[in-house]
Amino acid sequence: MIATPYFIPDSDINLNSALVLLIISQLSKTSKGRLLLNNERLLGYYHLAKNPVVLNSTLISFGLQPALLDEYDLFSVSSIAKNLDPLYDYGKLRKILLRLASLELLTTQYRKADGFMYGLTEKGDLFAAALCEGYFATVRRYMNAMSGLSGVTTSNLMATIQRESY
Amino acid sequence: MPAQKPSLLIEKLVLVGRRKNYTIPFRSGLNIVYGDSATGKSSILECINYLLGSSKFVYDREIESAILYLMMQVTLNGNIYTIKRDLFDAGADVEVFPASLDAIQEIFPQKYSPSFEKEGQDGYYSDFLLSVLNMPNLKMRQAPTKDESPLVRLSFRDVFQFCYLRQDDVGAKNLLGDGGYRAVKNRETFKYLFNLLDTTIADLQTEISVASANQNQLQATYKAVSDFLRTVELKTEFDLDEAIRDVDERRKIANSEMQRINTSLVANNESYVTLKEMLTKISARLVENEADQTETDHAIERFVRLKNDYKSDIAKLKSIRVSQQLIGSPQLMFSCPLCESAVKLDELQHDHQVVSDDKMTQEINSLTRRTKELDALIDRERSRRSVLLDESKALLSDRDDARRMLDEEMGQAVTPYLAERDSWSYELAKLAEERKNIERNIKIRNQQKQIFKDLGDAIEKINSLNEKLAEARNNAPSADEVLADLSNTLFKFLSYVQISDLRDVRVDSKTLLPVLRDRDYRDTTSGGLRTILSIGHFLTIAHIATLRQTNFPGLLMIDTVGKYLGKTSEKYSDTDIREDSKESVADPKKYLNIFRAMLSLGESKLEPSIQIIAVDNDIPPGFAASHPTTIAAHFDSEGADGARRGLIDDAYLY
Repeated sequence: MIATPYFIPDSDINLNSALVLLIISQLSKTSKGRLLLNNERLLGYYHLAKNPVVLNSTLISFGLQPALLDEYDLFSVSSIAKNLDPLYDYGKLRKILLRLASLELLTTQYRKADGFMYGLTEKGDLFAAALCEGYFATVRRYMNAMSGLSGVTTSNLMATIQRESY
Repeated sequence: MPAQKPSLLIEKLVLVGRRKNYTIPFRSGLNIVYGDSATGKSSILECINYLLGSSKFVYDREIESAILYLMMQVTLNGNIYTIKRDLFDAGADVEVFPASLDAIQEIFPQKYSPSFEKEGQDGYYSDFLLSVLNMPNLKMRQAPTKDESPLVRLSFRDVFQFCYLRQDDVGAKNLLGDGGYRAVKNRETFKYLFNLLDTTIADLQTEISVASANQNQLQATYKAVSDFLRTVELKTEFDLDEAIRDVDERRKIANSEMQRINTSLVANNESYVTLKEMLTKISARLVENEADQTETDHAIERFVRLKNDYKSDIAKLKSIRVSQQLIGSPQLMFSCPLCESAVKLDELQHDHQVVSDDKMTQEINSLTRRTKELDALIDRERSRRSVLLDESKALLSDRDDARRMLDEEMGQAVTPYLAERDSWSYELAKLAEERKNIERNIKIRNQQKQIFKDLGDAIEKINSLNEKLAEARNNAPSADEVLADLSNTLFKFLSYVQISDLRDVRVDSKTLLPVLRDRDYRDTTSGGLRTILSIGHFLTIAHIATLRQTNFPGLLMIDTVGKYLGKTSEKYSDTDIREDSKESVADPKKYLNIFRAMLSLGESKLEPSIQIIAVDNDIPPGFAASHPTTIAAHFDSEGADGARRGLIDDAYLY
């Protein structure tokens, strides 16, 4: 990482880690308790959470209700400037997961077909519950909207996201 | 007073063309047309011949493509006529206007048929020419020695044989006919020229009675026409002229009134101009206002977007604080959630980006401050925008007012002018119509005048015929006298031209052709000598015509004076070259003296004067400089020294 004199809130590791924690806490299980999130899917959800405009167009393409976006996310400079983060930055995700794991917030299960599936420890749930104000409140709203995506296959989801991102 | 001798003077030949007209002017006396071959010199003589009634005109391609019809202004026994003839239809009537070229619009023409095959609207062209030139219109015996021979008319064309020495005929052995019918006719015509025809007196009597009948006819016509015009109350010439003057005056007035209205229409509208200016200004300000509004809108959008970004950043920063507190310090060593084995996080050390709380707060404050500044900017732009909007409303309403006022102003100001202008327009149209009618009536009056003049001419003609009759009775010339005169004159001519060995020069009483050294013209082997003899013969006839009472029209046309005189090309080869050189026909002095002889014949002081038109490829050196007025036309196919390139002088352009 190149040290810059500018502070970019959006790239802060803590913020992004908290975001991943929140995602896993809200969306790791189906209504029946089956684990959903592997690396790929988690990265997809992460991308959607950071790009609400892409989130909405993805939801719409699956026929789901879009989320209510803040004025911040609709009418800003960022909304008209494309987010250039590559969709497949697994390295970044790995760092985040390591952090979370080191704090004993993460659990995993291995499934043969899908790889490692993630969930949270009790401690993890507790910490996640504390993330509820300001920015996190907004993100929770997005999670609600994303819950409908549980029925979509991961590969379909990723393909659609890629399409809607560009 | 002796009867008026025939006098024919060509004044101007005009070939009316598609692109332009081609004109050759002529004068009395000698006229020379010289220049390169194929420039149209012979065509000029052919045009004159055609306009004097020849049966056809052989035209070259240049004339065929460039010319529509021919016209010629002539003076016949002191009266001016313009003759017009269609180039391509030789059977159509020849039109004769009793006026000069520039006045033919004011008069109706007479139409005569050039051939005896059908009669033209006003008769035969030959009869007209003979009549107006005061020449007897006779019939002669076809076989002159037989009393009971049928009679044929002697036409103007027969006489014209002695006026036109064609290029092929100069120095030709068969000059004036080859012994056949033509030669017989020519001999009879020759006698007619010198009043030697036996039938003269009887014919004159016939002619007098015809002329009297004609005069009576004209008298009746004139009376009928005059009565008719009086009945329909056609105004007199004087009144018509005055009427035209009056119409022209009124037209002038109408035109100047129209002018006045048009200028007033434009000038008298100060308030219109002011309003128009105002309207333009308002429109310009509206455009500016629109541009400003767009600018403000863009600014507002930019600022609001930026503000939202700041707000978003502020929220995120606050969340980072929370996150840091919660998960900001990861353990460097922990056990893997899956397999419980130890995990070491050396790499995380490098990643550790702890932002101090102070820094965070600083950042949040700075962003908050900037957000407030943006709010101020946004407010400022918003109020500016509302000002612009108000201004726009006001301008739009002003513009509508201005437009409305402009229309009202226009309507009020223009309408009365338009009405007045319409009435003057109508007046002008009426006046134009009136003028046309008056012009037509003037033409009719002119026609009546012409009839009256014809009547006068007819009476005069009868008088001169009576005088001729008296003279014929008194001094019927003898053939021998005439031949003696002709022979003497021919001798003088030949010695002037410096022909050597001038023995036995005469005009033979049987052939009526020249004889030199007891050798008939036709037996002369030297072509050059024949040329000189033939030209001399024609010149002699013309000369005697100025002295005696004859029926010669006073016009002589000679095509190619220098034939066989060492000047023409191989085209003419019917000559004995040795004889030619024995006679030294190529001597330039001889050539010069021929021209001098023509000149003096043309300048003879006796009345009427003779007109000679001579055509050649060349002229004696210095002649053009010493006698410039005799040059009617000089053609140079290259156009050197600004000379005309030919008769159709713009043919080289197409």
